[in-house]
Amino acid sequence: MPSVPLPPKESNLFKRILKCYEQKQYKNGLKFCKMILSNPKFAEHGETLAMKGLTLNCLGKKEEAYEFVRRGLRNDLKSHVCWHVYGLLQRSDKKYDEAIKCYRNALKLDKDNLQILRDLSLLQIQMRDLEGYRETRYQLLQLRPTQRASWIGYAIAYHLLKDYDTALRLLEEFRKTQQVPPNKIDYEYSELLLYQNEVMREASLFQESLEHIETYEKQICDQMKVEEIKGETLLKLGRSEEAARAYRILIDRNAENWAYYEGLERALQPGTMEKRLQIYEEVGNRHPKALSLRRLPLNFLTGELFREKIDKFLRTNFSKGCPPLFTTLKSLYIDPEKVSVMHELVTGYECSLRTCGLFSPNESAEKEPPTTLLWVRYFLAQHFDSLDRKALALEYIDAAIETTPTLIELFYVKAKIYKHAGNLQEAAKWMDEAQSLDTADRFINSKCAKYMLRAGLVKEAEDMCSKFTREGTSSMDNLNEMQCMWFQTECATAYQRLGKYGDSLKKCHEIERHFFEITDDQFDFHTYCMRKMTLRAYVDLLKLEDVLRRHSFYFKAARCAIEIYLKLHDNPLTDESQEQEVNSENLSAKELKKMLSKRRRAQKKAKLEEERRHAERERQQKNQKKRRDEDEEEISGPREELLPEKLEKVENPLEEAIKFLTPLKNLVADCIDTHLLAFEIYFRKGKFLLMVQSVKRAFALQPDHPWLHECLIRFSKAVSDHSNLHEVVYKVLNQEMQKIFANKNYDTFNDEFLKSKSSSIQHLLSGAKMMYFLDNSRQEKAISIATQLEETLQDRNVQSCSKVLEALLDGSFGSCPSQAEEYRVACHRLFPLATTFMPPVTEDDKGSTPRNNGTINHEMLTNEI
Amino acid sequence: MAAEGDVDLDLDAEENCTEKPAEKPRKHDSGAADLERVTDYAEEKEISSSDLETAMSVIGDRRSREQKAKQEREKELAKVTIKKEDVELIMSEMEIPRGTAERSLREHMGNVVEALIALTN
Repeated sequence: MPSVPLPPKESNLFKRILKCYEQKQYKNGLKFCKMILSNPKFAEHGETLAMKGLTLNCLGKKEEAYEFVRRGLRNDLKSHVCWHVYGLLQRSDKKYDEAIKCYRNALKLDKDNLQILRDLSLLQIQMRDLEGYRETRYQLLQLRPTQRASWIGYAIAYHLLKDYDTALRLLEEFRKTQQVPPNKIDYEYSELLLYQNEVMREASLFQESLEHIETYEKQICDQMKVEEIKGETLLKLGRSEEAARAYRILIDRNAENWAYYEGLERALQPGTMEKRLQIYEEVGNRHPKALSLRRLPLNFLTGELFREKIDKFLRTNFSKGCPPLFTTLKSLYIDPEKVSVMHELVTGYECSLRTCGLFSPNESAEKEPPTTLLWVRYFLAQHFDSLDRKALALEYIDAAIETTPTLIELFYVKAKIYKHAGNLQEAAKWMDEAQSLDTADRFINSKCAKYMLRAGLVKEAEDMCSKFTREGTSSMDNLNEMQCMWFQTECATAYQRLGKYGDSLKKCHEIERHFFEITDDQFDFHTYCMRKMTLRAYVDLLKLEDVLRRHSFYFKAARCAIEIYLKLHDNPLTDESQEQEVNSENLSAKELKKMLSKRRRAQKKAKLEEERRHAERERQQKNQKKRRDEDEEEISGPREELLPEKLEKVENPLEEAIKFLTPLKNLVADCIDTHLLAFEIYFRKGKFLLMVQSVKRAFALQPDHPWLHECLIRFSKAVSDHSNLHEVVYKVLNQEMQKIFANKNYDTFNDEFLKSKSSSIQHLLSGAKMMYFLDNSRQEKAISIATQLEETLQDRNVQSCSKVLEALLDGSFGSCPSQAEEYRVACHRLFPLATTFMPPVTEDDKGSTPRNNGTINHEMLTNEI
Repeated sequence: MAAEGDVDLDLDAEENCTEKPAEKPRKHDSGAADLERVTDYAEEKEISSSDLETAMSVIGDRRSREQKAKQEREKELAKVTIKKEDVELIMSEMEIPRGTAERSLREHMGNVVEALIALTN
C-alpha cells in the first residue's frame, strides 16, 4: 500500500508522537497514536502503527511491539520511517546485525536522513565496524558540517583506525572553530585539548604534545594531568632536568603515587644504590610523613643498608600496630637474602619482646606495649606460612590468639594458613570464627563465604552471603542480579568439584551474560560522551570494552565451563548413568529398588520445590515489571532461563566450549592455558590444523610446560595413527611439527623430556603419564617416576603431590590401587594437614571431629625439624 | 492491555498525566537518576560556520587518495585465482567463514599450504 500523506491535523499529531517518544512520554505518545488510528480512514496508517509498536516496546510490551511494527511496515514498505522504527526495535532487542540491515533499507529510501545515519553510526561503533563507522561519519559531516558531533565523530573514527595524522588534523580544524577566549576555562574545551594531546602521544609525537600542552596549559582544568603529560613527554624527549622538576611538582601534589617516584628516578638516572636512596631522602625532607618514601627503597637496597632500613621500618610498624605490614612487604619475598634478614630480625624481636619487652635485649629504650609482641607474632605466622612451614606458622598464630582472642585478623590468618596447607574445611571453620566476631563487617563475611565455597559448602556460603543481600529474594539470585562475580566464579568451581556440572554451568553462563551486558551497556555512551566532550574517557571505555573478556572473572568462568564441557563430551550424562553412579554392585536387588524409589521421591520433591520457587520468582518479576512500567523505564525482555538439568545434557558440548574459548583466543593469547584448553577441544573434534595452531602458540610461550608436553605427545601419536589425512593437511602438519619435534619420534621426545626435567614433580608426572600412554607395559616404571618424593624436587608441595595422587586414581596409569594408597600414606606423612592425603573417612567418623589438632602439630613439628 | 484505560483519556487529561506527584527519592537511587539522564534526548550543539570552508577542504583530497590505494590493493587481490576446494578445505579445517578463508588464500597467491601455515601461527 503506498504511503498516504496525512492531512494537516493528523500530521501534527504524528509529530507529537515523535516528540513524546524522544521525551520518554510514552503514555501520551500512545494517546496520540490512538487519536490517529481511531479515524477509520487512517486505521491502517503504516507509520503510526510502527510508532505505536515502538512506544509499546518502551513500555515493556515486546510481543505487541513486534506485531504493530511489522504490521506498520507491511502497510508501508516504502516508508523510511517504518524501516527505521523496525531497526530501532531490533536494536533494543540487541539484534544489532538485523538492525543494521533495517537502517540500510531506510537509507535507501531516504539517503540523507540525519537521524538514521546517526543511529547507524552508533551501531557501527558498537559492533566495531570501524571502516563503516568512518564512512557514515563522513556523510554526517558532509550533511551537517556545523555540528560539533560531526567533527568529533569523524576524528574519533580516524583515531580508532590509528590514522593519527588525519585525526589530529580534523581535531585541530575543529578546535580552531571553537571560540573560547584565552584565559577563560571552559570544561568542554579543556577536555577537547586533552583529547587532542592524548592522540599526539599515542602517535609518539612527543615534541608536538609538549608544545601543545605548554600553549594551552592555562585553559585546562585537569592540572594534574597537565603536569603528568609534561613529565612523560620530557622524559621521552630526554630532557631529564626538566622532567625531574615536573615529577617533583607531582610528588608535592601526591607523595604516595609510586609512578611519580619511578618517573623521578628515570629522570635522575642515579648510578649507585646510595644515590638512589638519596633521591628519596631529599624528598623526605619535604614530606616527612610519606610512607612510600620508606617502603620503596626497600625494593632496591641490599646488604647493610637494607638491614638498617628494614629494621627501622619493621620496628615503627610493629610499635604502631599495622595489620597489613606483611602484605606491604610480601613482594620482597622473591629475594631469599632479604627474607633471611627479615627472618633474623623479626624472630629476634619476638624473643626479646617476650623476655624483656624491648626489641633487642641491650637497648635503653622505653618498654614496648604488649600489642607489639602481638603484631610481631602475627607477622611471623604469615612469614612462616609463606615459607611453607605451616606448623610453626600455626604455633605463632595460636600464641597470638591466646593473648588476644578477640582480634579478627588473627583468625583470618589462621584460616589462611589452613587453606595454604590444603585443609579447606578447617580453613572455612576458622574463617567462620573470624566472621562471628563481627557479623556487620562485609569484608570478613565475603571472605568467609569464599572459604566455604572452596570447602564445597555451597549452601552454607549462600546463607552467609544472605546476611548482606536484599531481604525477600534468595541470595543466589540477588548476587546474580548485582553481578557479584567473585561469588559466582567461586561457586562455579565449587559445583565443578562437587560434580554438579549443571549448576556449575549455570554460574558460568550467568557470568558470560554479565559480560554481555557490560558490553551492551556502552551503547548509550556513544552519544552521551560526544555530547559532553568527555572524549578521553570515551575512548578509554571503547578500548576497555574491546578487551573486556580478558578479565580474570571471565577467564575463570570460561575455563570452568570448557573443562566441564570436555568432561561431558567424554562421558555424556544420561539418565541411566546417573543411576549407575551409586555403586550398585554391593547392593541387593531389593535394596537397589528401595533406594531408587527413595531417590525418585526425592527428585519429585525437589522438582515441586523448584516449581514453587519458580512461581515465586515469576511473581516477583511481575511485581518488578509493574513497578518499572509505572516508572516508564525501558526494559529488555527476559532471556531464556538457565536450567542446570538442561545445561548438563547439552547436545554438542564441544561447540558450547568453543563459544567460551573464542574470546580467550583473541584476548588472552599470552596465557598458555588458553591454547592448551583450545588443544583439548580441537583434539576431541579431530581438527588437526587447529591442534597444530594451539600447540604452536603454546610452544612459543613456554616450550617446557608439562601440560603442553602431554598435548604434544598425544598430538604426535594421533597424527601417526591417522593414515588417511588430506594431502595438504599432512604437508602442513609435517612442516610445522618438524619445528617442534626436530625429527625425533615421540618415544625419544618423551624420554628426553623426562631426563631434562628430572627435578620437577609436575614435569615428571606428565612425562610418566605419557610413558604409560605410549606403552601400557611400562606401568610400573611410569608410576615409580611419578611418585618420587625426594627432598631435592623443587615443587614438592601439596598442589603438585595432589595432582600425582589424582592421576594415580583417575586411571592415567591404569589400575594401581596399592601404589596410590602407598603414595597417599607417604604424602600424608609429609603434609599431615592436607585433607587430600588423609585416610578415607568412614561413615561413623563423620560426626565426630576429624582429628585432634594437637597431635598433628606435634607430628608436623618433628617433620620440620 | 493495561494501558488501555489511560489511552481513553483525551487531550485535556494530558497535564495530569505528565505531572505525577514527585515520588520520594528512593535510597541508593542517586546514581540511577544520573544513568537515566544518559539516554535523554538532546539537540546537537552547533558551531559557528565562519571557518568551516577551509576546514572542510582539508578532508576532501585526503579521502580520495585513501580510497584509491585501498581499491588498488583489492583489485590486485581479486586478480589471484583460487580454487574452490582449497577455500573449502581452509574453511572446514580452520573453522573460519568463507570470506576470511578466501582472503587469506588470495594473500598467499593461492598457495593453500602457505595460507594454512600462516593461519596456524
